[in-house]
Amino acid sequence: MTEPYKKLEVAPRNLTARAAYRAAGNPANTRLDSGVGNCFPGLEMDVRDLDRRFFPGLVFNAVRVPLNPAPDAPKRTEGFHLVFVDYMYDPMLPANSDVAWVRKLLADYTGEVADRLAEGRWFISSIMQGEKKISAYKRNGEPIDGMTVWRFVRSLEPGEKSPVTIALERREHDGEVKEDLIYLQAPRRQYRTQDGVFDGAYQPGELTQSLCNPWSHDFRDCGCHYWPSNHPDVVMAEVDETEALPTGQTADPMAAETYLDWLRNDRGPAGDVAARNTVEENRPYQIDHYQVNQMWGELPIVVEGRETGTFYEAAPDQSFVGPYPDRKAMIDALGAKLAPLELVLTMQYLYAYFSLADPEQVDHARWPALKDDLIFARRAILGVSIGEMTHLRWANQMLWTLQGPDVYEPVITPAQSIRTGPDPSQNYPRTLSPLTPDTLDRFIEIERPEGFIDRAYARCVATMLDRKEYPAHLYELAVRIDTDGDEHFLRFSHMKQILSKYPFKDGVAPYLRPLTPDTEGKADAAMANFHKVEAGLKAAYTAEAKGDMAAAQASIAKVRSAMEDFREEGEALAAEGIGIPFWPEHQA
Amino acid sequence: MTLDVPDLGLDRRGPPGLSDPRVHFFDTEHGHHMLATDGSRIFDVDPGLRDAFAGWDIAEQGAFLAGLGMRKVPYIDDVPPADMPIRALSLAVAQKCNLACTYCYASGGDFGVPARNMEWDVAKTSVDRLMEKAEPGARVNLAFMGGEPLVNRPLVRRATEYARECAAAQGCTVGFSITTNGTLVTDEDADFFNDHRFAVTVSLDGVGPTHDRLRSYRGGRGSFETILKRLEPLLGRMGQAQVSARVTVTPANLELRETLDHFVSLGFHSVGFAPMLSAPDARHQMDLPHLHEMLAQMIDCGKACEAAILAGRSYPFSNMEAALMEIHRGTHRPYPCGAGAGYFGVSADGGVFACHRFVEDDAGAIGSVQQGLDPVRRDGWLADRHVHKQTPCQSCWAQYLCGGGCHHEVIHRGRPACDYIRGWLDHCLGAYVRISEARPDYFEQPSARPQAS
Repeated sequence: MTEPYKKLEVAPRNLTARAAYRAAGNPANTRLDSGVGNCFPGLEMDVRDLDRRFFPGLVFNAVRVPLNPAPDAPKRTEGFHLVFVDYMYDPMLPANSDVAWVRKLLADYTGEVADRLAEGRWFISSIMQGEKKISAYKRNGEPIDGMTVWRFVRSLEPGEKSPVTIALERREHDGEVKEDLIYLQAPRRQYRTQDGVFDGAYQPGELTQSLCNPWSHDFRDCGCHYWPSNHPDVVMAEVDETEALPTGQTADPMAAETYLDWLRNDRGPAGDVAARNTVEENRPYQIDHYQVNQMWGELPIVVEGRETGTFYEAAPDQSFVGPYPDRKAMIDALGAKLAPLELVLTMQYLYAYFSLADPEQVDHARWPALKDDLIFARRAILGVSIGEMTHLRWANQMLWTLQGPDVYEPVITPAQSIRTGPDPSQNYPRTLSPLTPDTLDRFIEIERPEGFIDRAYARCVATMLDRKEYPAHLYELAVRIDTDGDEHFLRFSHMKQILSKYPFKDGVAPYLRPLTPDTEGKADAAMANFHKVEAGLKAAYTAEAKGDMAAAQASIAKVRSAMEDFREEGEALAAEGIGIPFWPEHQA
Repeated sequence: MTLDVPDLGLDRRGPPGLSDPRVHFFDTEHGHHMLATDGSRIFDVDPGLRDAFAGWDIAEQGAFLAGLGMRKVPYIDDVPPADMPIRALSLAVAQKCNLACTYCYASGGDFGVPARNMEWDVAKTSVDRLMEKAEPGARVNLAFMGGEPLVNRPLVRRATEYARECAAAQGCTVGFSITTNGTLVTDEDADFFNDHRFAVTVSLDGVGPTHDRLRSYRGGRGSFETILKRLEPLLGRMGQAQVSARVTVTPANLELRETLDHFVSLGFHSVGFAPMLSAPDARHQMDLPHLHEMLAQMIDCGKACEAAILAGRSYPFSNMEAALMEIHRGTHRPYPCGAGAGYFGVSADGGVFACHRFVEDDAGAIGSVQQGLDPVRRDGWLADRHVHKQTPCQSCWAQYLCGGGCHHEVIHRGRPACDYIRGWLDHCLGAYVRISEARPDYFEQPSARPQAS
């Protein structure tokens, strides 16, 4: 229906009409909760500001890894940085207190400790509470990013019963720690009083100081990324539904599935180039401050991650996928096909991951963008690989829920072959190959929406729609696996677009390093770790199926540790051109 | 006097604006307007809208109406209010009367049962009930009716003073009102009403002989002169008491404008009219031709009132003043009044009824002050009386301004006055637009204006 009444003018006259009238535009009396972005829950304050004063008398800043540090800048600036000591008006530290820890702290803050803290850069080195100790360093000896330390701080418990001990270290210009650490102990601040009021240590404006001024410039400049939640920064382009293929797929999948910068300056079709990886890289191509004042109203509405024009058309439904005939058929598919498939994909993707060159080692002079592109590609494929491991777990969870702990056997066996389409001829033996263009094309086919895997999980979804027969959480799991596939497809497609600008000839490309499966036993240690992973997962799934969460967690912790080692060994081997021979057919 | 009656479609069902329950279109010299029934919202609209609206299909009409406001749900749903606190009680302190008005809903004051006075313990229990759930700061109202309440003057005084004490102790406010035929008011009564800021409503059905024919003493003697003499102290003093004249319109006293002008000149704080739709003696009931004539008279009074408002003069025609304020606020009500919700009538022996008119009438019996309200009967009453359950109210654009009509009249007579009500509201809608254009400040005044009872 066209909307004939839109042309007719109406003006509210009495009080009820005026109170509820939907005004055109955005006049001064628009309600806050109906404004485009005038009111957004969570913008009242920045919760991170609470934790800056988690320790009585001290104020910290969470400092991130610098993006483009100057060569002579101080090293190791990331972490929880002590900004200043502020004990005078701290309600936790009354001057006349006779509580032991308060007296000790006040003595420190006015004595030798204060003198030491007054000089140099001081950071949290570690935090202890009860039996737990959190180090502010990674295993490789580099400091942890301040935002991560902040998350650790958030996990501390408040209260006198569980005091927190912090170790403070002074970092010299070169990042080294030469002086002795300072240890301080106190309860973590209770951020709100019993009356629900913020602790008096916080100064007026302190809890909002990191927020932005919510108006059009912030569409561009908001540094804390609150806005992307309702004003996305990367989007997909509008697609012309009339040009869709008979299958319902879009005629130009690459254009339809390329992420664009929402704020791109060139809004014509020629401007549809992919968004770059970082905010800084996209900046030159975004509308500037003057333009945003004029153009913010033209920024398109984004629905389901896609820009929309005048009309929003819901995506066409997938072709009909029916349920499995019964519970047993679904269990058979999950156990014999889907779970083994997830594991084999994990391994193929991992092998391909190791074939990508070390971003630090590539020829920067010849390929200036290659470092960033490799960082992206490595993260993307590792992310997909981790996603497949998650699916392996979910497939097993569906199995143990459906079969019960007495019948269930963990499925940690990789499939022998991989099917990519409805036709049985689209069945390929599993292979370990570097991430060549052919390999990437095959990965894209595997993850393609409407492909074999996608349809198999769509059948699980259709089957578990029967809520009397299947618990709701199983249905949710199947839906999540099903929708993750689309995300994997997009990541690989994007990766292909980024890597396609580099030459590939005779198996050699600037982004690849040579990799051959080991036949000389050099990868034995890595394989041993991989078997630890398999065994650990088996134990964990068995325990969880029986409801023994403590045992399951213990096994998972071992798996995590083995995987860390495995990854480090894999990187070291790959640097020497040695691939990990996951399967017997590759082993000597 | 003959008046022109505007063609309001009273005798036909035709024009889309009148027959569509969702909207009502009306015009003034300021343009074209529309009442959206839902929420009683008034809009100024394009000249073409009325015809365009009639031409759209029901989905298009619905989309247009939905686009007018931000609410996603109707202003009034089907759910009756539950557990409302009692806010007003009317005590039938004397179920007897010294007059013999033959149309009286109380059948001469005794409600068709042996005449009697209310005893103190009933009045006291009633006040206790009224105060039971009155939180500090709340405002409650205690009304004295009959029969003729001043027949039982000592109880009126004692109950008033007791209620004042209770209210003071609880930190809430109690207002008092009394509906009297005026024949028994004394100087002391006037002082008492002033002291306690009574709203005094006097039933007066016309000027001189007209009144006397309708409201005579039991012996047949007229009461008008006596009443005016008795009211002198109240009207003359213009003190704290608000004195209103309430005119019950029957076929025998249709000279509304003369009556109104005369009573305004006598100094009444407000004057209001109500048609007699359901009388024990059907000869005094208003039928369609009478209502047609009454509408013309009401519109004539309304025009005089409008002229006075525009000129900044006082002309306390309560029907008009109340209608203008309700239209301005967009009053939308699922019931015509608070009967059975926050307001109840109490009979001489303590029976609680939906309102003062239902006293001794089983159709409106809801409990007793001694035992409390019967929740089943009360909930049933509110469920049954909701305007969404009324026919033909659901097909009427005025349903939320009217609320379905007086329960007592509807139950005992039906709805003969719908066209009269719509005609009167249509006139008031136009007057509202005209006054809001010329005197927007009129609606900015505090809502201290007298309300129609």
